[in-house]
Formats: sequence, structure tokens, C-alpha cells
Amino acid sequence: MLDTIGIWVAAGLTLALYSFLWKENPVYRVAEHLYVGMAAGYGVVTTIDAYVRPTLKNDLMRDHKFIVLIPIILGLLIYTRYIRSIAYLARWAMAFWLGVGAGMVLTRDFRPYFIVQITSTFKPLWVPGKIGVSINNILLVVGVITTLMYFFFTVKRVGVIDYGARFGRWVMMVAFGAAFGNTVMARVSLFLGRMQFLLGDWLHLIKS
Amino acid sequence: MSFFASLQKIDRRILYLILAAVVAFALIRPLGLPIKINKETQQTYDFINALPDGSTVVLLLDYDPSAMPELHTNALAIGKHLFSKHMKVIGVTMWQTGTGMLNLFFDTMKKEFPDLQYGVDYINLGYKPGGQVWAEKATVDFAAACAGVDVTGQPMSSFPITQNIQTSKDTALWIDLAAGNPGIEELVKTVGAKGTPIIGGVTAVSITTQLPLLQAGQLKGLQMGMRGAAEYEKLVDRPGNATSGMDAQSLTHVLLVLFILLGNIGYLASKQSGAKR
Amino acid sequence: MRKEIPLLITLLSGLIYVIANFFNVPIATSAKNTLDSWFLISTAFAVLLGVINLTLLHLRNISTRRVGWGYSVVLLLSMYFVMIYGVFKTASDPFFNDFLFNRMINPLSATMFSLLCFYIASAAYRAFRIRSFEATLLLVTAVIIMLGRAPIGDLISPWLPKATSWLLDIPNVAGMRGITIGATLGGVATSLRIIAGIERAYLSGE
Repeated sequence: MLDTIGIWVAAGLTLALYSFLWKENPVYRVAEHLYVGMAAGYGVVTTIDAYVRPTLKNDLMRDHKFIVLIPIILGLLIYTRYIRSIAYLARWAMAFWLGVGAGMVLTRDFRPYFIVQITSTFKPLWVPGKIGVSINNILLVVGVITTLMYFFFTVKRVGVIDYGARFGRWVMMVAFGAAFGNTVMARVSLFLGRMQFLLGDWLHLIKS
Repeated sequence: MSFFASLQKIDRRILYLILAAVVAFALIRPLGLPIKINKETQQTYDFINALPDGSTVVLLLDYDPSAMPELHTNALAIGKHLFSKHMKVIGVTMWQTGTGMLNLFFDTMKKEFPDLQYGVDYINLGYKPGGQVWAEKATVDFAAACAGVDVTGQPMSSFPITQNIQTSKDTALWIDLAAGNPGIEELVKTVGAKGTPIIGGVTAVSITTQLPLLQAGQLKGLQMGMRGAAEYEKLVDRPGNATSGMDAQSLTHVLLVLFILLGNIGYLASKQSGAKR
Repeated sequence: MRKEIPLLITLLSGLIYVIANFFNVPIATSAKNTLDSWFLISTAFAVLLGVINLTLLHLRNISTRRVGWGYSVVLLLSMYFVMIYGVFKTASDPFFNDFLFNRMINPLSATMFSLLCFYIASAAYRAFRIRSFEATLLLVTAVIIMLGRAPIGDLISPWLPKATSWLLDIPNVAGMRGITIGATLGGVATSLRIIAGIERAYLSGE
């Protein structure tokens, strides 16, 4: 019974949001604000369950690991931004998160996203007996180099640099075209999912 | 107003109705178009198949409900493969909404594999905040990264499946189905950098950005959106929503290409008639 | 000292990561592991930031009787109901998970994003124009990918899926790889600037 009510509620909310496609209306607005409110509340609940509750219950109250009070206070400092006289303390929390984040990028990003990507581009430009593979490898290497050349903004765009940058731009246009084509596919999938719910779970016109 | 000019001024609601009608028709009356397996999906399947039965796999469902048609379909197909090989599956997520996705996933898997035992064959650790820092911590102390508890707050040390997992290296594979950040990139930089294999699954939007990682060997497989899910469903013989959605996807793509062509024909024709005047 | 202390915190936390990663100093590695834990705990305790911002914004709407203030009431009521119920019952509660999440949040979230499909259909018809060679290149690639990635591509021509595969494997990887390499350099440079205290945008404003 509750499941049937749930399906009708879900269908109603779905159609309420889709009503926007016809015209903006109060039903859509209510559904929109319901979504924002519920999603925000849900995020808080999952985070409290994930870390806040176990830290307070286990680390502090059960195991007496009082050192965790330091990060707890650090996290709570962010709320001082609402009290004008001590709002500067919120920067301490931000500074810590940014320091850790910057440290992570410096130590973790370089190898996988710079070195490995470059070494993976070192492909043999001539593979005996496989002209197709050779052409592909040449195109890949030239494509990567010319894409990087496009971003040389401190070098005058003449001669080889100019031609290289222009070719690099075309390579990027193809990459963005591929991204766009895939984005269309993704958006269509989003709608497909809702139609499968409406036609299947709700109206039982298809098997889902 | 000329025909082409009026063509360009069609009310967008008519376009919406045509789109909805085409999708509904294709779902109600599927065409049964064959689905060929792409090399990326085959690579994913082969890698998982080659793992010894009973291996411990960490499965991350890093997406919200909007990505369910593309990623949850992948999750269910991969889940069938994993549990068919009696793998131990540790479910966790770096997204807040991932907790709900994990609950749905394991509920479905329990129906398909009724003998699964919680804490022995699978465990749901729920949402773990921190993104890349969480993943980094998991490479050093997996339990501490997860605050030592599962999604219900029970200690991880009380479950056989997680008792011997000290770090990410004690697992055979990490599978991350991610709709954005935090996701695959964070795992590649941390867990992957320490030598644990990673398989990714992405929405179609992210395919182009993740393919360089697959080509560089930083990913052992890549599931690409709903098409990837449909292919995997075929490989594990579990037809699901991805398979049934492929015909509608095909027709919708053809429709959108027609829209692009018509729009450009109208634009070029208007441009020409404007130039003539 | 209001600016110096945050700069010092950033410098110390960033330096610990650098030393732990590039030098074999056990105390630095231990400090880094501690910082990881502290990061996870501190960000979790900052969870109410979004809720407080939303509350202040919408309470202002309600108190000033701004147009549409009734919707603000809906937002605040739904947010606090979900939050209070969930905190007391936990996210594993059947009503919370099966009804509030699966039957309300789930469809709302999925439908909200699925509206994009319609906007893309409208944009495909009204906005995607072949105005230049590069725009043509982009559009032609997109059309090939759209048809090639769907099963109908095989029916139209056996070359479509092959062309799709080639476009994704060669020019796409080349372009994206170049962008990734450039973006990583930029990210590393920015991180160095943040740790060194040259980038101070986070210090302005309260």
C-alpha cells in the first residue's frame, strides 16, 4: 500500500516538474523548492551518520580520544562567519582545507595527469606492416603537441607556432564535438529513465 | 513570412511534444536493434572475469538519482557479474546521495542472490565525506578513513568482510561508477597510484575526459554511459533498463540530428534569401 | 595577525604534505596521516553551512514578504523535516530511505536534470548553427558520435561505429590529453601559490 502511494507521489512530483516545459506555474515552483529543501536536509543527515555521530560517540565518548577536539573545533570555526566580531576565525578553517587541498594537488596530481599522460603519448611513429596504426600514432602525437601549442600565449603566433596552434584548435574542436555528442546522449538517457518510470512503474505500459 | 523563416520560429513546446512522443513510442514498441559490444566494455568484463572468485572488490556508487539511467544500470549488471563469481563486495560512496544508491543496489542484489549474507558477502559502508582526502586515507588506513563504521553505525571490525582490510592494497579491485567529482580521478591519483587496479564507469558526458586515462592504462576498464550498461547487460545476460532504453536512445538521436539539419537548412536558406534582398 | 595565522596554517599543512611525499621523514608521514583524519572530521562538522545559508536567505524572503515567499516556507519546512527526522532516526530508517529518498528526493532530482534533454532538443533546432569551419567541424563530429554510439548507427552504415571509435580514440584523446596536461600545470602552479601565500583570495571577506 505504502509502495503504491509512494509511486503515485513520485509520479506526481515528476509531472509537477515537467509542467514547467509548458509554462512556469506554482505547482512547478512548489516541487522545485521541495527538491532543494529535501536534498539539503538529506545531505546533512548522511554526513552526520557518516562522520559526526561516529566521531562523537566512538572517538570522544567511548575511546576518550580528546585529540579529535582539534579538528572538531576547526570545523566549527567556519560558523563564526555569521558573528561579525569573530568572523575572521572562519578563515582558519578555510586555510586548513585549502592547505591540505593544495598539498594534495602538488603531491598527487603531477604523476598521473602530467607524467603518465606524456609518457603515454610516446607512441612509435612507424609500426612496420601496420600503416593504419602508424598514421593513428602520428595523428595522436601531433594532436597532443599542437593542442599544447595553442596554449602558448607568451610566444608570437608566427610560422610553425601559428600553423601548429591552428591545427591544435581544430583537434580541440573535434574533441569538443565528441564531448557534445556524448553530452546529448547523456541528457537523452536522463529523460529515458523518467519515461521508463512513468510508463513502467506508474502506468504499467512497459516492463521495468 | 517565408517557409524557412516560419520553420525557424516553431514553438519549442511542439519540439518537446515530438521528443516525448518518439521516446514513448520507442519504449512501448521497441525495435529490437542489436547491441554490439564495444572494446571498452569487453575490456571491463574480461578484467573482472579474470579475477579469482571470492576476491574483495570495493564498489563505489558516486552518483545522484539523475545519473541512475546511466550508472545504476551499470551497477546492477556489474553487480550480477561480481556476485556470480562470489566476490566480496564492499559498497561505499563519496557522494551524499550515494547512500540511497547503495541501499537500492544491495536491495536489488539481495533479491537476485537471496543467499547473500551481510557482513560476509557484502557490506554497505555508506557515504564517506572528504573526496580525495578520504581516498588518500583509505590507502593508509581503510577503517579509519571510514570512521570505523558501516552505514548503520556498526563497527567494521565486527564483520568478516572488512576485518582483514587494512589498506586499499588488501583489495583486488576498485570499481567507481561516478557522475562527476569526487570520483574516478580522485581514485586514480590515490588508490590507483598505490597499485590497486581501478575500473571506471561514467555518464556519457565524461567519456571524452576519461578515455585518456583508459588509454594510458590508469584504468583497467571504462563503462561508458547507458550504452556501456546495455552491452554489459548483454554480456552477463541480465537484460535491464539500459537494454530496453537503447531503441529509444537510437530514435531520439536520429530525431535530434534531424532537428539540427532542419534548423541549419532553415538558417542557410534564410541567410541566402536575406543576401538576395 | 588576522591574515598571518591563516597563511601560516596553509603553509604548514601544505608543507607537511610536500615533505611527507618527497622525503622519507617518518614524522612528516605521521603528521600527514593525522592531517588527513583532521580534514575528514573538520569538513564533516562544517556540514550545516549550506543549511544555515539557505535558512537565512529564505527567512529573509519570508520576513520581507518577497514575491514567492510561500515557496520559501515550503523549502524550509521540507528541509528541517528531513533533517530532524533523519538525525533522530538515521538514514537507514525504512521511511527515510524508502519513501523520503526513493519516492521523493530521487524522482525530484532525476526529473530536474532530465529537463535538460528538452533544452538540448530545443537548442539543437534553434541554436546549433554552422557559422564557421570550426563550428562545422564540431557539429559534424557531434552528429557522427550521436549516431555511432547508438545501436542505429550500425544499421545506417557499418562505418559509423568505426568512425565514432576512431574519433574518440585519436583526435578526442589528443585534444583532451593536451588540455589535461595544461590544466595540471596550472593546478600545480596555483597550489604552489596558495601554499606560499601568494594566492590570498580566500582571506578577503568574512
